[in-house]
Amino acid sequence: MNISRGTRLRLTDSFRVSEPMNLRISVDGTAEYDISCFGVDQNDKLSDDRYMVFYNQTASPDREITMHADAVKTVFTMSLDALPMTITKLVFTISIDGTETMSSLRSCVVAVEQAGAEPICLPLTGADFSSERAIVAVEIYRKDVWRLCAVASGFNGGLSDLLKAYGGEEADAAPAPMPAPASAPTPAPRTSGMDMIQPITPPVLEDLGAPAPTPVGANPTGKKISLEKKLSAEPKLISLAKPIQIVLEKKKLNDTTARVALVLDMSGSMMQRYKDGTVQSIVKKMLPLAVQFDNDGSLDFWLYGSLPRRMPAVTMKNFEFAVPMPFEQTMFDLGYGNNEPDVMRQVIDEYRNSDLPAYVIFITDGDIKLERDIKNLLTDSSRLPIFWQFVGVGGKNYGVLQRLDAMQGRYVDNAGFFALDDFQRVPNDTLYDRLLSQFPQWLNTIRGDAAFPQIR
Amino acid sequence: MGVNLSKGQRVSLDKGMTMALIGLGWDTNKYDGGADFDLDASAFLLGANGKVRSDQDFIFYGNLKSVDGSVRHTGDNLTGEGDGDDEVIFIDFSKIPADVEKIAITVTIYDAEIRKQNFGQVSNAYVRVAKIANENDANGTEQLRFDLVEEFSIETALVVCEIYRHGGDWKFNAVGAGYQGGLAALCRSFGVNV
Repeated sequence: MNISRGTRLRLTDSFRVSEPMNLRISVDGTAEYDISCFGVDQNDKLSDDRYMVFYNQTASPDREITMHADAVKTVFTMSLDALPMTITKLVFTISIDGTETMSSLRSCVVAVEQAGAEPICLPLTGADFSSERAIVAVEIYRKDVWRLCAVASGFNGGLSDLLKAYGGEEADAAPAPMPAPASAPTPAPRTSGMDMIQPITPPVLEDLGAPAPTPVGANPTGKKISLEKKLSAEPKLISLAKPIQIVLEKKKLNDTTARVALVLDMSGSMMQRYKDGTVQSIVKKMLPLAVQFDNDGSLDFWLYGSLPRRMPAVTMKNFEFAVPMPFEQTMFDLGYGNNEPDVMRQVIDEYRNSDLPAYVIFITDGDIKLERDIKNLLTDSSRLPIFWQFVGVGGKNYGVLQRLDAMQGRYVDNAGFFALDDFQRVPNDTLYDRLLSQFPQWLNTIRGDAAFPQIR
Repeated sequence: MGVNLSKGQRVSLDKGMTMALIGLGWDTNKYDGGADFDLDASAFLLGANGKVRSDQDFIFYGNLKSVDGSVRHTGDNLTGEGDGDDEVIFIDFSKIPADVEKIAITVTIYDAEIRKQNFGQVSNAYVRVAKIANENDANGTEQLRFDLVEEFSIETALVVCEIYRHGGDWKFNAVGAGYQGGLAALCRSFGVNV
């Protein structure tokens, strides 16, 4: 049976709601579409964020709702009667991560299916929408019995507006404490009436594409789930989490564990970029990368001017305060200069004997003077498990960094460079794509090379 | 709080009620994408044949008061924002002409077809009847209430309720019937020339 926008019906008329049933969403269009399910309470709030089932969390706590996605469809399998009574509505949403709108939909079908029952289909096209970037496709809700409403309406602001619409008020008032890394998920600590629900084994993240053939440092313990949950626990970073996941899948890095480092230029010429927040934004954008494949979900962190300084690791908790304030004092302490070699030596010492590959993001605005030292350090460290990703931020005179590919004498090519004219305006997925353009090749090269016996 | 009615229920109105406030409410402003919703309440004064006696018996945003003064619409609310009644109709039973047997209260979606809207997208819709002393009596005593939410989906016009003569008294019928075609279709079915 085909239904249209606005249709309300009783699911119990057509389906056996005590048994699992599927809700399938197939989307075809020019944008990238994210499918999510919000399990909300009677106030339409996501008071228990374990009931948001989406790409970062593909099952609810007792697997009442599970999500499987492939290239053409997303299927939620729902056991409606198994849901806690506090969950009164399941809101199925389609959102666009980017600037396109729902009018870009070529076709979309939302179907409720169960073996032996006639399916209910809601067909939609771009003509049904205008400038929405996130829509509620359908709602399945309790009102005496389980019912469905073909909402097909939405918000212009995308997934963040959806989160706002369904976010618990407590979540807005105070961020939820972070779950401990690499542990079973902590129940969301923000709601009332949910205490009786026990957390269970974290769900296995499925359908993330083929795993890397021989993953380096692969972690079979399901660690990624808890890391994913860190992202979902920090709403401000949710929109960042998605692109990095895609890039990691594309690069076959989703099973890789590494140590991730960030080195920030704090020379005098960077003053303006600290003032206008560019550097702070860099830290914020790098963090999801660290969370995704760093061994402990934090970012090892160095600043340098004329002197190097090791800073406390950046985590989900402190990332907003990672750049010291007032930065002018730190800049003064570090001496305003451009001494890359000294900070590189500290980084090398840190990872020289690492069992995990180290991925070092080195941000500089150029003015490279100590070329010979940098060359020597790059050459020396080419036999160490360290990859250097240099990023030029709106500067000039990148010197040797721009000629890395032609640099002779290294055991393996262990460094990459690209310049960003305006860090703030580059889309996240583009940024992550460029950040990870050379690291996977390096990883493949050293993997199995006798010079790197510690890297399995 | 008055009686909660469900679809199809008929109840007698308080015999001592000379003035009633018919309050209609709905929520439509949840999503900011797409076109805005504009819902309109109307009243039709109907004779024994179920038709208006003249076009003057159609009380809506373009004709706020009946000739005899028995039915008055307080005006159009364009957005449906806020809590409480979105549109209000007053009925003065003492002024209803003897040849009016029935007053039908309707809600329609303005420009529904162009805006691709219907009642399935409307939430928390209701009608309530309160006994009031006069039109300045803002709240009065609520007599009954009829929640419409689950009754409709792709319709664009609703006959919410009818207030009709029964013997010497007035009764309330929780009709809750939906139609396609918006206000124009309702007008035609009640004999209004549009």
